[in-house]
This record gives sequence, C-alpha cells and structure tokens, in this order.
Amino acid sequence: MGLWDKLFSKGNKNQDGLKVHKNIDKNLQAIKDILTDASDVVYREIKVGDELDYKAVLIYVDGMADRILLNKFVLTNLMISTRITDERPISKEEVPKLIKERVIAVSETKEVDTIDDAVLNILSGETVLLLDGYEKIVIVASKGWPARGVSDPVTESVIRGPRDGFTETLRVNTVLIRRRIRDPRLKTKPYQLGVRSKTDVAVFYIEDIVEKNLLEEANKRLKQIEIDAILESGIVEQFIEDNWISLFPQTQYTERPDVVAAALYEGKVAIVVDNSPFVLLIPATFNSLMQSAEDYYERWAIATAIRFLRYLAVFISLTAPSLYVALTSFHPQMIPVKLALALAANRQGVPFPSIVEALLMEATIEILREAGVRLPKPIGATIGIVGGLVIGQAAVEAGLVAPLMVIVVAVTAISSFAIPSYNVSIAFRLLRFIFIFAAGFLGLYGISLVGLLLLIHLCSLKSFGTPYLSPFVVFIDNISDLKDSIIKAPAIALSNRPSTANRGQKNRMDDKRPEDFGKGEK
Amino acid sequence: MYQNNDKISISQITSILILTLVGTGILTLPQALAEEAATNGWIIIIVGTLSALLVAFLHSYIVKSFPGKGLFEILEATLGKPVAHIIGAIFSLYFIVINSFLLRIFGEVVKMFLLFRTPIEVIMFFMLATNIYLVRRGIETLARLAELLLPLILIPSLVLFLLTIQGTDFSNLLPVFQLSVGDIIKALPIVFFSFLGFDLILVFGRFVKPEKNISKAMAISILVVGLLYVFLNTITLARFGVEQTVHLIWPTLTIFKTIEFPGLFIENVEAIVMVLWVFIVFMSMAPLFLGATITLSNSMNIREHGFLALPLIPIIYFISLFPDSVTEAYYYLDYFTKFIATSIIVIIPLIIAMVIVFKRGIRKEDQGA
Repeated sequence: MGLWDKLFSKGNKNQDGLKVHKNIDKNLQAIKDILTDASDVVYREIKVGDELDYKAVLIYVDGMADRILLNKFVLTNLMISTRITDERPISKEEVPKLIKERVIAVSETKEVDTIDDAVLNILSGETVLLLDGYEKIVIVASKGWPARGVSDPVTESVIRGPRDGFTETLRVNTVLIRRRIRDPRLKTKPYQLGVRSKTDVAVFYIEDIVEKNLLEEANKRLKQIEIDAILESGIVEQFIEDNWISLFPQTQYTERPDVVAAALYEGKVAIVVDNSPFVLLIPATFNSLMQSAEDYYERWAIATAIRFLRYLAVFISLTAPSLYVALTSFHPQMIPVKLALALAANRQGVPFPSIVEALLMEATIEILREAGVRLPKPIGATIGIVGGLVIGQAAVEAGLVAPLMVIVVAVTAISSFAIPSYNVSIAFRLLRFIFIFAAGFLGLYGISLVGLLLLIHLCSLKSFGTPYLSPFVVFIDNISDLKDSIIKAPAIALSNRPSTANRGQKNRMDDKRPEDFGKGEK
Repeated sequence: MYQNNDKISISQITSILILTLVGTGILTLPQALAEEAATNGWIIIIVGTLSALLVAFLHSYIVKSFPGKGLFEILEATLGKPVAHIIGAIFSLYFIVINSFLLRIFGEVVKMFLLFRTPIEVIMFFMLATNIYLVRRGIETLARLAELLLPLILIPSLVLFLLTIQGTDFSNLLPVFQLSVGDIIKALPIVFFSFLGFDLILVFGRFVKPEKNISKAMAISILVVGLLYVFLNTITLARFGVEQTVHLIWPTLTIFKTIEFPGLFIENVEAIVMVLWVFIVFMSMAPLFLGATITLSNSMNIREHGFLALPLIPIIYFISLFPDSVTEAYYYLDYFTKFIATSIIVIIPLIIAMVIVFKRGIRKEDQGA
C-alpha cells in the first residue's frame, strides 16, 4: 500500500464500503453517480408481477454481458412468467427470495452487500439486479463478450501434440487446464491485481505435489504487486521475479495447456492472467526453458538428440561470431594451416578488422530480424530474402566482409531460432555482442572470461528458491533429475518427479492415493 | 525466503576441493618431480597423497568439533580472541599469497600461449575482476559453479591426456624404487604444494551440511587429485622422458602440443586446452579468494565479506607482480611452501586440535568428578 493508496483512495473514499440501501432508487442513484459518463452501461427498469407492481432494475455493460441470456432467462421470466404463474407472494418482503429461487433461470447468481462490489461486477461483465426493498444486490453471471476462439499456439507450434492454445479469456484458459487434470487436488486461488484494472489472476497448483514453500512464496509475491494496471502476464512476471537486473527470464511462459498441465504434475505453480494468452510457470530453470512439449511425445532417443542439438545451438548462437573474431585477429596459429590460408585469401580485400566486420553483419541481421517481426506477414518474407540474400551477397561482392563471415552470421542467426524459448534466445542475442567485444579485446582469453562470468551469473540465479541451472549444479544429489535434462530418458525411466516437487510425492508412476480418499465407497 | 541460505552439499564441497587442488599443482608437478626424483616421482606422489590425507583428517576433525563455526570462531574458541585475530589475518594472507602466485603463473602462461602482445598486467587484471564477481556472489554460487564445471573440466582433460598416449614410451618410466627415505622426505614439500588448498575446509566447513561427511569429502577429493597427479606424471614422463621433462617449464601444457588427430580437421587442440586452463585456474583462485575475504572479514568483524573483495585486488596484484620473472616466482614459491605454508596448514591446526583434545579431557574429568 502506501503511495498508491494515497493516490487512489482520494477519489472513491466516500463510496468505499457504501452499504446497499433498502430503497431501490437510492441504490440506483449511487451506482449512476459512480458510473457517470459511461454510455455503455445499460439501465433497464422493469416492473415485476401484475398486482404488486414490484420495481427492479437490471444493470450491465453493453457488449460485455450476454444479451440473449438476459432476454431469455432473466427478463422473460421476470416480466412474463411472473404474471402467469400460480405462485403468488404473500407480501412484498418475500419477493426477492422468490425471484432468486424461482424466477431467474441462470446457473450462477450471487449477492453482494456494497455498492462498490456491485460496480466492480458490472464492469467485469456481470449483470446486476436491483430489487426494491432488499438490502442486497443480486449478481447474475452473464459474462459473454466477443472473444478469440481457441486456436493454434503461434509461438510454440509442434508437429505432434495438441493444437489448442490459450486465449485472452481467463475462463477459457482455466477450462483448458482443468480438462487435463481431473484431480480434485488441483487447486486454484483467485486474485484481482491492479488497483484500477482489477485484472483476474488465477494461481493453479496440485495441492499435494507442490512444494509448500514455493506456493507460499508465490502467493506472497503476488500479493505485494502494487500497480495501477496489469495488461499482460509479462507485467506480473517482472514483479515476481527474483532478479530484475538479469537478462535471463526466471519464469517460464507458455501458450500451451499441455505444457502447463505437465508442469503442474511436476509440482510447479501456474499463474494465469486474464487478457493474456501466456501462462506463467514457476519455478523456471534453464533446463525447463530448453525443453519443448514435443520432446515428451516423440521417441526418446530422437528427443535426446534434439536436445543435444539445442545446447549446441546455444553455444553457436553465443560464441560463433566471437570465435571468428578471436581466431582471425588473435590466434591464427590455432587454425589448421590450409583453413588459415583459405581464410587469409578470403579476407584479403576486406578493409576492416574482423571485429568491425562481425559487428557490422550482426547489427544488420538484428535489424533485419526486428524489421521482419514488425512487418505484415507477406512482406516479412520479402524482407528475409532481400536482407539475407541480397545484402549478404552484395556485401561480399563489394569486398566489405569475408564470405566466411556471412556464413558465420547466418549460422548464428539460425541457431538462435533453434532455442525453444524466445525469451532465452533474446538474452543470448544480446550476450553475443558482449562476447564479440571481449573477443576483439582479449581474443580467446576474453571469450573464456566472459563465458565464466556468464556461468557465474547463471549459477547465482535462483527462481523461487530453485537454482536456475539445476539439475546441472546439484546433479550428484539429484542424479535422477538428469534423466530429463540434456538427455531425455524413455518415459518408463522417468518414474520420479523432479526434485522441485514435494518430496512426499516423488514417485509419479506408483502414485498411491491417500488412504482417506474415496473411503466409504464400498 | 530462501534467497541465500549459504548451505552447500557434500558433493559440492568435494567438487570445490578437487578443483582448487588441481589448479595449484597441475602445471609444474611433473617437472619438479622429475628434477627431484627422476623416474620415481609417482612414489613421492603416493606418499604425498597419504600425508596430505593425514593432515586433511586433522582439519576435518577440527571442523567437525565446531559444527557451524567458521575458522575465526574456531580460533577464538581454542586460542583466545587476540591470537585468533592474528592467526585469522595470517590465514587470509596465506590464501592471498597462494592466489598471487597462481595469478602470476596464469598470466605468464596466457601470455606465452595465447596473447603474445598483451601486457601481463591486463591479463591478470581481468582474471582478478572475474574473481571479484564470483566472490561477491558468495559460497553458494561457487559451490554450484564447481559442481557444474567439475565434469566439464575433468572429462575433456582426461580425453586429451588419453590422446597423448599415442607417442608415449613407457620404458621412460624405468628404473623404479631407487629412492631412500631421505629423498622422499626432501621431495615431499613439492607434492605438498600441489595439494595446497584443502585447508579451505577450515573456512568453508561451516557451510557444509551434513558435517559428519566432511572427512569423506576430504578423502575423496585428495584421493582423486592424487590419482590424477600420478596419471599426469606417468603420461608426461612416458612422453618426454626424464631429461626432457626437467627442461620444460610447463610440461603439462607442452604435452598437448604434441597431440595429433589423424584425419581430423583440428590440427592442434591448443584452443581447447587454453580455455580449459582458464577455467581450471579460475576454479582454483576463486575459492582461495573467497576463503581470504571470509576469513579477513571475520577477523575484522565485518559482516559482509563482499566489501573486502575490491580492496584485495591491489594487494594480490602487487604480490603477484613482485617477482621479476617466472623463475624467481617459482623460487619464492618454493620457500613459501617449504616453510610458511607447511607451518600454517600443519602446525597451527595441530595446536588447535591439541587444545580441543585437552579441553575435552578437562570436561570429561569435570563430568567424572
């Protein structure tokens, strides 16, 4: 609290906790006072019954509430069915109860005590029903706005595996998760974050698999978020991560419900944020960021080979240009003679030292890549051809860069695409430039030192208490974790959950249910 | 919550110790042994390993007697506060001096094999800066790094050594058993220097959980390193023979220059070897550096050891540039190990252990009475 509190409590202090009045007109006026100048809010005043002339008001935001549902199951019933039914209330006091229990044919209703809560519900897409002489306000669940349907996850496409991806609607996303875990111990804890945006956030975990400390820490950090608006899970991520200086993401994001389900089964915690198709998974380790969902659906030996390939890609994308710089300008004696001669012939007309050459080409390709992301899809492909082929070819022919440099840059760029997590790959993209500078300054020695610094940094990182480089940094104690790291052991061999999960639920293949579960079913 | 709980496991301390020990001896041991004992170096290594083991057990006995206590607290409890301040300072100075030697030799090697025209000062400075970064991150980061790097260093090194077997002549190892007891004792300090660093357990012991396995960690790391040295010594001798080995400054590095991959496109593995070398020396220096800062901050009553890392840079830098040449550096190093280091890692712990035993005796008598 503190600053935000002071800033925002000023405006709505009077309404804060304003109780619902018995008089319907006062309530209506109070809501209208708060929602002034809101042309999209609809107030529908109706009279219920034929004798009592009972007044009721329906309030909702146009477009956010499901109008067909309101017409068919709320208004029709209130206005028409109440006239033709035999059941008649004896007194005016009985009417609200009767309406709630017998008239509104909607699956979910609830009641609130304060005007503020009612307004929040209106703004969330629910419909508020004011009833005369009733000191509570009835909320009719009517959320229904135009939403994007479940579609292919764009950033994480796989060849084999489910094709449904998260959308921008929290409820759709929770359904996608729930459908994969029919376990009563899958728990979800709701939050509303953002002082103004009141964004719905749901924390998912499987009660007995999750490590208690992790859950507590996640809840603690979420509660500490103080901001006016949460627009995307990326903002939540920046508020809950351990080290905000680091280049490396300390939470994992995914668009795939199957990845979330798998993570939950491994004792991780998932944070679903409304308006974002990206679900956060904590804790994240470097290892988990280097995995793809497909690894688990394909043959294990192939998955292992592909994982080796990815780590190789990391190495190439980090060091290829810097190695080129170091070897050509500092240590030509380390290159085999024939290659060194070819290289020298190659570079003969190049007017720059190799570090300038490398920086030039790397900068070009980064600009190309950025341009490609922003452009509409059909033009993006053109940019690739123009940039990649034409500029590369022309630069070589103009004698500005050596042909080998073009190859190195191209291989580097392709390698960085082979890293499954985009947020890791951009970290490496930036680090690549540091490596190039180090190589230009101290050659191979500089590369080794920067490599060491990078390793030290990665070793010092923790994500919610889990070392970022685990299982590689604690492998002797958790040797079975290595079976799902660079190597992907056959599914049968992966009988243990990773050590991040609760120790009591280590075995995943012989998961005995607790003894009190399902008792008395005989 | 558990941001930095400063706990390291047995496997992590073992990794730290192995890497620390290897870095100090790997370069020069074969040359020094060839000089002192010709073909019988391996006997000295074995005797040296066993004696190092004895001292290591003494150290782990001390650490285990004070679970959760650092070196300074142990000194305070056994020898009293004023003495503890002095000996604490001596210990950190000792770590600093070894570190300086390592840094100097490292700088010379890098200059000779990698960066011919770069001033050695620049090379040394950036190594120190990298050290500072780790020291400020603390023991947990060091432990994780050690566990990560141990296989990454050991496996390629062993593979490289196996590749050198091609040109070896094992008759170079003969004759054997030509040493008198006196020769062994005379050559022992050389081997002992190659094991310097295991005394770090006195500093790091309090972070290790569970303490009861500390002696196991010590034994494993010393035995592994001893084995490595025997292997290294044998291969070097078999490759070069005694006469040639004596005349090489760094036979271990020279040996890699002889590797030939038939049919592979890499003609020399120098690049890989040099990267490995940077990692090895770093993993040897960083624990010593961390040990120095922790001990120093304890004896100066500074809570955060990280603050001391920067002021130590000029000191280490100065000491390492003090000798005029590599030969001189080795000359000083020889004296340092023979007298100062030996007394610090053998005599002081012996006194501490005696005090512990003595105090226990008194307590027992009290309880008996």
